[in-house]
Amino acid sequence: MEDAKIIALFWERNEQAVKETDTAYGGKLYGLSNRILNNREDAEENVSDTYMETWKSIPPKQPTYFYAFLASICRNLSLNRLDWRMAAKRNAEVVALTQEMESCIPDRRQDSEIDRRELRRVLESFLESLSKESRLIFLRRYLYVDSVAEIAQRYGISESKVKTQLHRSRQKLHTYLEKEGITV
Amino acid sequence: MTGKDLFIALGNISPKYYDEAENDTIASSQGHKSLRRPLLIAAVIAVLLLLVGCGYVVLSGTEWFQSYFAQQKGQPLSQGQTDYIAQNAKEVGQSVTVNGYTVTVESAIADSRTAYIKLRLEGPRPFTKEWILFNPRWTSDDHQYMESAFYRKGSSPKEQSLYGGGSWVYDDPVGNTISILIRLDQSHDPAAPSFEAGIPYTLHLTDLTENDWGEERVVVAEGEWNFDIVFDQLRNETVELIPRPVTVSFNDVSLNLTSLKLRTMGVSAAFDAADERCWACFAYANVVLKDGTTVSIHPTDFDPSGSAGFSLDSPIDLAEVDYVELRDGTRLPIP
Repeated sequence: MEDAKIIALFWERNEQAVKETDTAYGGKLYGLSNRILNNREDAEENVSDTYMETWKSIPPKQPTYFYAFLASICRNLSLNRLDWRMAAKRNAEVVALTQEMESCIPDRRQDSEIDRRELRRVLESFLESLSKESRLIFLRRYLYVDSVAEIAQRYGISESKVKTQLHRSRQKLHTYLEKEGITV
Repeated sequence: MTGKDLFIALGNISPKYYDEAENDTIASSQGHKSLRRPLLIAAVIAVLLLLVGCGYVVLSGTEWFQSYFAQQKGQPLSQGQTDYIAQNAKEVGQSVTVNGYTVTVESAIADSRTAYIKLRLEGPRPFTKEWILFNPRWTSDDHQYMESAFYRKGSSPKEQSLYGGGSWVYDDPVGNTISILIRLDQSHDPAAPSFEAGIPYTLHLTDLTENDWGEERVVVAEGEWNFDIVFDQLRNETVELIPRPVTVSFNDVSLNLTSLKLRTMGVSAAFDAADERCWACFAYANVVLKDGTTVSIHPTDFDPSGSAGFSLDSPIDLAEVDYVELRDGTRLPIP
């Protein structure tokens, strides 16, 4: 079913909307959630919660990018649900990713607050500064939590190329944050 | 801030980046054009071509509702369902024109807690936008629909929320004409008043708006369209399916269900206070008819403090019902 029709079902308060969403995107959302949570049951539950949040949000919202809308909710819920201490013990992928992101922060000794909207603006500005190829690889890794191997397979490139691109992008983000005066 | 904070913050970027990373390919950025958009455009053109020459077909209320509910059910209606609609659909046929836009209330069908009202909207030009709405005069962020649009005639507008929870469904526009279906449902609130036969109700619509996705709503016709509707007859049969409390569950959540009342057009549930996620226990529930066909039960409202309301994808004749099956496989036969 097309996204527009699924969203129309949400507007009608027709529960078929959830079923159609699950049919269209359940697998992807489960994959995203499971990559973060590394637990099948938690991931399934998180996908259900994603549908619940979507049900609450539409209406009034009319998302232009429906899957993006779902993925955003799913990612945030997954991270809220994640037990970070347990994740560290399990050596989950998400811990590795946060460690990689740590390297982007210019000066970790300074502890300053940054407005969430300002950080979003900076991150979007950084993403726009990347080439499309670098941006897609960066987003697949840090937004969708794909493994390096999955990214390589998705785009038909070598894993070493993915690693190189990610390394360069992290360096750029470090420089970018520094240039923006964000000593976080 | 830590790497964890930065990783979390990345989730708040614009949805366009989520979409780009999901749908775009590196190859396409190097010159290979995606077929997706041309195919979409082709599909739209095909639909438009199909519509050329087609006029708006005026069906009787019975015919329209039979067609609509069969489509919702996804299977042919049973004989009992067909008869139910024939006996209970009401022709209304009132029209009001404001600023060149004519709204006609064509027909309605209702039981004691659920009502469907079919409208025809005709404008001075074709409807081309994705969303065409009357301004429901928002009362809060959480309750937007028809709260101020349908009420007992003579009651003050402040009392209008008695019949909240309605919604809109559209057929595809045909030229200057579009069909709108309003569903008013108060199955979830046992304290809310029932719809009653012989009582005049007012349908109050204001300010027609339209917009495409991502656009602000634009008012295309400012004004009010008011109609008086009387339901000549309302079916108020109700069957209690829970002789004693039962526990239903899904994944790791469960609730203690104390009442499940089946009506011809909806279901009302009562349960002990439960986790918010328990709404999932009711998803994918079905009414199974004696001819083997199923009618889906759709949650319309869920209040964790102990009540929920559901609509049926099509009206039923209670005499035709075999049992109700919940998501966890619990079967509740008609007593």
